[in-house]
Amino acid sequence: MGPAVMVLGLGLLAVLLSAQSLTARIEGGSLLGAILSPSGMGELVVHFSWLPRLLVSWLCGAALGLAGVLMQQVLRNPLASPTTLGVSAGAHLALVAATLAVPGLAGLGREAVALAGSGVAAALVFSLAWNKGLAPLAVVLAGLVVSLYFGALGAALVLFNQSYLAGLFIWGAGALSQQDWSVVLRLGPLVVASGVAAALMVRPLALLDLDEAGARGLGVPLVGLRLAALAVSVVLAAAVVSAVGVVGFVGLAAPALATLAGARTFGARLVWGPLIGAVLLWFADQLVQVLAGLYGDLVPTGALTALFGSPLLLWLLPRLKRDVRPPRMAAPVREPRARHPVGALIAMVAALGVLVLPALLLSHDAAGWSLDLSGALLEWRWPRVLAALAAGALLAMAGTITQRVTGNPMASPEVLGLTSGAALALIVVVMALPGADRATEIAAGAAGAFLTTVGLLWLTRRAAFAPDSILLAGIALGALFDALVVAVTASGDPRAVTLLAWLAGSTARVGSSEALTGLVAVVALGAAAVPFARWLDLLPLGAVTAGAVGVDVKRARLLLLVLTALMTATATLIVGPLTFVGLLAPHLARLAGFPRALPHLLAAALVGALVMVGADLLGRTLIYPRQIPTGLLATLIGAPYLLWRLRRL
Amino acid sequence: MVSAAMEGFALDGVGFAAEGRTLLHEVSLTLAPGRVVGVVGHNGSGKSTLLKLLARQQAPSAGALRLDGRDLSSWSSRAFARMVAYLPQTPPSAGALKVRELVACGRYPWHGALGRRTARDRDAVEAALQLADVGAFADRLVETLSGGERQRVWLAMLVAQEARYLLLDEPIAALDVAHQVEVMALARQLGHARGLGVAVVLHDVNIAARYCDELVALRGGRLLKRGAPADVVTAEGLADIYGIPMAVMPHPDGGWPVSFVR
Amino acid sequence: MNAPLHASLRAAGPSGALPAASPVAPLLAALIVHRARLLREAFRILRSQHLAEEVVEDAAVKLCEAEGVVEADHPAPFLSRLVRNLAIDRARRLKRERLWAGSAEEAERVPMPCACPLERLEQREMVGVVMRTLATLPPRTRFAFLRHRLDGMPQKDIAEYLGVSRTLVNFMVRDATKACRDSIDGYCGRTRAPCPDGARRHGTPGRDPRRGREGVGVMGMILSRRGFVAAASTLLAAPAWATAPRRVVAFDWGIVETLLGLGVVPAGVAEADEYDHWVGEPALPPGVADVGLRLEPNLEAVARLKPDLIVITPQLEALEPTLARIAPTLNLAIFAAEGDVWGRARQVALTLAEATGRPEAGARLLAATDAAIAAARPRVAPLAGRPLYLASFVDARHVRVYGRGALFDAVLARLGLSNAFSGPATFWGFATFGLEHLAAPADARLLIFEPVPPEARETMAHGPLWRRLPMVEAGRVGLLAPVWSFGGLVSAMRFARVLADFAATPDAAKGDVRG
Repeated sequence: MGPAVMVLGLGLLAVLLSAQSLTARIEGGSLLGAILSPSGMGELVVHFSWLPRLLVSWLCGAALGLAGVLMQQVLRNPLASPTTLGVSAGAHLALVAATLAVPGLAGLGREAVALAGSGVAAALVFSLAWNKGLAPLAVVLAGLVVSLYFGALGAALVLFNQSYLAGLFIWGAGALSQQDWSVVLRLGPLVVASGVAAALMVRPLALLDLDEAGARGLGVPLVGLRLAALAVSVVLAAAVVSAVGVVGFVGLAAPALATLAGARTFGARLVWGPLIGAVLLWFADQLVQVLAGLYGDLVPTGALTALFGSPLLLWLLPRLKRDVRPPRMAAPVREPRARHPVGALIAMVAALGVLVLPALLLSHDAAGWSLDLSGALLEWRWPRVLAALAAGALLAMAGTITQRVTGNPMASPEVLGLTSGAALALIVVVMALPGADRATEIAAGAAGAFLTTVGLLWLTRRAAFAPDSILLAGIALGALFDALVVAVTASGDPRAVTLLAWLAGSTARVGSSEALTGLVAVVALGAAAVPFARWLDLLPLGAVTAGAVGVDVKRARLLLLVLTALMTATATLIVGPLTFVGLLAPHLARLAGFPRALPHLLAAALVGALVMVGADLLGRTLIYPRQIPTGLLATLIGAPYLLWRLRRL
Repeated sequence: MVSAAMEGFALDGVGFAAEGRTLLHEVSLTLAPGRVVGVVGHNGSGKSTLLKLLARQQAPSAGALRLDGRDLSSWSSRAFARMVAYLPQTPPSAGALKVRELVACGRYPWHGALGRRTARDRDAVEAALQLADVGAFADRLVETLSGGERQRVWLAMLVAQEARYLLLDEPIAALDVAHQVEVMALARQLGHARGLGVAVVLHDVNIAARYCDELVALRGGRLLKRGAPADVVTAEGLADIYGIPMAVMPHPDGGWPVSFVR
Repeated sequence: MNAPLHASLRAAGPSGALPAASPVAPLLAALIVHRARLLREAFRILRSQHLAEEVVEDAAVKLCEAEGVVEADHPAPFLSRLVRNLAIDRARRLKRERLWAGSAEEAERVPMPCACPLERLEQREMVGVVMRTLATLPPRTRFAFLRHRLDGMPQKDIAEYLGVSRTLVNFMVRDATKACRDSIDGYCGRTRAPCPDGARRHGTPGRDPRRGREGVGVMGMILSRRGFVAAASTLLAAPAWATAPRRVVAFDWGIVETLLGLGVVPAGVAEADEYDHWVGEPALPPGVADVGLRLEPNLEAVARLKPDLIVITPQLEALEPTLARIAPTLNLAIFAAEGDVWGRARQVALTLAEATGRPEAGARLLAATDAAIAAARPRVAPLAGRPLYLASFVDARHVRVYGRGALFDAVLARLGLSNAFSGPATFWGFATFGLEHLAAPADARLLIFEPVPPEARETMAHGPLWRRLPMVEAGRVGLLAPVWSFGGLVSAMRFARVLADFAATPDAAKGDVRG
């Protein structure tokens, strides 16, 4: 179908819904009257609330769509979007920090603060990738790391200051409700100006469809162009985020949908992407308004866009493989090799052993730091330490396998949506059965992760579980689940806030049975991974080569995916859907010089365990009696190191 | 035991279509071991597709493909890999593997995921390294080599695979003349001295004429002609294949046809 | 149930003897004469022989404690009535004490050595002595002892429940038994009361072969179900208290404020510093330990405090088994999906009072709340004419409005005011939505809780839609001092007061003239 058809179709639905939401509010007035000279409550509400909201949905949708098209063109990756560049995370963090530190500032210059935050995040990403001339791989990797890092910082701040930040719950999920025209007046000119700027850059940007070398050879100023285009998209996305909050899926989905609908050239995408984005957000927002009725329309719009945008993308996914071939991650990276791998591994094991001691014995309480040798508190500590160790190792191994199977350094259990699936299942249990015990919760999470795996496998079966399809499907599923999670936490229900701690990866509630389960899982699943070592050596060479030497690629990918799911499910249920260790540990292990599969697996498991045990120790002692969730702290520790190492590559 | 008559690839009305376009129409031919076959044709004539079908990288949309009398899909992955080795047009990045390690990957069909690596495997790797003349940098990272050296390393991997059939998709496209000659000489040696069946997709019809025992010419996805170089590489034949006027003259040293554009 | 027993003990005096010239002596004599018939009547109601006997004994005790002359021209019907009423009371109570039903038969095995009410009095005082001794034991020891001796719970189950070793449970039971024995010895020695069957000191003449497990007469009787049922019921309904737990840990601020309102200073509170900022009243005295986040308490910090009692709300239900390892845990909810928040707030206050051994403080708090409401009612009269919106700003565009299920709503109802918001609300009694929905009903008055976020102040000053809301246009907007919305009776009192203070200001009547 052509993009026009898609726009018209969605637009028609949106018009119908708009008519309904309008009627519900206008209370006997007239639309014309509401626009020109409102009188009477109905017309006032329409004039000051419904109409601006309508325009805001168009503007934000278009802005996000435009930003997405630009980013995906520059980065040559259909997975690039404002969220993956850290823009929304930076804005969120800035707002949280500002609200806590200087409440007055947040009141007046809220948008300015958010823009500053996203600007900082984007600048950080660019500076990290500058050495590579803003090459796609570098930018995307840096963006992902920055996004996760700032997201973790923001989450930590929210966790510890819930009472102050109720408003941010709502905003975090993308609420478009308006009560005057100020947002429209601010956003409108910005979107138009950005559109003009993008139009001016159409021709050189279109040439980016070629290789780097090709474009350069044609006289395109690569660095400058990339910078300009990315800057425009960052400004757009930041403006949207600061105005209405995080509406994440549109920036990812709109360009993809435009391409899938048949907008082949960049110019076409530049036109249809924003249009599809606008219609998408319009439809979602009207749906929210109609569904919720007059009260409780705080089902956040941002969550809803993912709720139906994600299945839409999944439905079109099989066509994606044929119509559009996502460009392969270019730029082979020069990787170091350890000179004495065995020695290095032994050193890491020793380090872990040494770290476990303070993890068990070090105390920090009102009286200060001390070593608790009496063992009285050991019963509270050993489950946490063991669980952190096990979860770190499991996630690291799962991430290693995922990255090797997909050949994509961004792949990790979190990206594949497995952790989100487990999280969603757990949320359902917690909300529906408030008195559920741990065993029920664990079973539910396992079911969630498995269903996600099954879903992933089913969705990508025709593509022989090809890496890009899996990643895209995983991201879509993950977005779907994250949206539901956000919808729940935005309700302000304090039960939902309980989930925040778990979502951030707290080890504080772990019991001995779970810790032992984790240990058994590490040993059993780790041992189960060993026979696959040769597959893991061959699969990164690509399906063609691996298949040529006799690896049954389809079966290998299936088996490895199932193993990954098992590992992920166990780890998630012990300590929550951690967002970083599965991504970080394999990278660090690789950067430390372990490219062969089996050493990589071992090293990654050790790194994961080290990071998590260290995080558990610090989380427990740094700000006693408050505890920083382990997963969160692992992110905060690990990300800077990873960023630093990435620079040096 | 496979009879001599059944040995080799047999294609019967094989066709391949993708994305609404038919890339191969009803190709029927046989490829026997012990011969070097060159596949030539214009761009988009289906040469690479044909090789991919032979290598089981893609499944045919029509027709039957048999190896040694058995349908291609009936072979297990490893058994097939022990029979057929394939080198794609653009070999992938080898990560941080060393040369020796990459060549050792070729032994997978023999020892599989769990089997022990025996002396046989090690000898095969060594022999392959020597044969492809990459022994000198056996312990260097593959990514640090030049294009030509890397290509030889990939060939060494194929050699280590000890398969009966070698399928090479444009192996010399990025090489200089000297290396082109080296690679083709190696392919020919493997075909004659070891009795392997070698199929090579080539752009350069002169190289094809010099090193191949027979040529298969495709045009527009159909089999145009097949035969000894002297039969295929003629002025009329070339005009048919490439659609431009060309002339042929015998090589002063060996008599094989050398063509040039009029 | 304790009250009559204690009252009777006090009335009977330390020696347990009743002066012979008491005016009720004839009634007692009549009771003895008609005992069999009275037993039958009681049996008809209670369907249990031993319970019937206990009821008859209770009747005797009641007669003993009656002051002044009891007119009884016809003692028999009077006694019948008395016994019948007591039996009915007991039957009702038994329904509540379901867990005892099964083991009543066990107690049958242990005989009543003496039917004389006076001796029962004495024996009851010994029961009291034993109870007081048990009260001085550590809570887990007491728990293990009672569960083992009275419920017959196997020691290994107790060990599992408490999370300790079987040996430890064995020791605990043994220590408790010894302590009880010693205390009985002490009592008998002190009062020179005849110890029927005697403690070890006086020898043990004539054992009844029908005795149960214990074998030793007094101990057996006292430790029998009969002896303990009445006195121990409160003890066992809420695990193992006989004196106030000294150290309480609570997380939810509603519970904390209620505890403070009862005069109990918790040993540990979650987010203690934030409590002062957000709740503030009653103030938390210095020196209370911080035990982590409300929803993610620091288990180590709690364990370090060695509390006697931990109080949680349903949000922390998942942690209950873990917390129970540190100390007995009580799960109380003021806010729940259904039901009456006011009733629950009161019940929570009473339960906390009982659990901390200050039942009178509970009654006092309830009375104080009622008094505060009553005092506020006339003062809020100026607000009574219109429905009220109770709201707080969450950001520039959204408000949180309190409706059914919120504590504030319950207070409004009791003050005779009406809540303008009747839409669906969350579990905690509020709903969040955009400003524009405050348009109807137009005649309501809007009361906003402080603190108002700065961006919302902007809205209140300049927001065009805000300014055109009928309530705002008419000037019927007021600001209320901050009150914690998820609290208990103390917050309710504060709210009533805040509302009354506001009603006294001129703002309260603003907009009324124009209507």
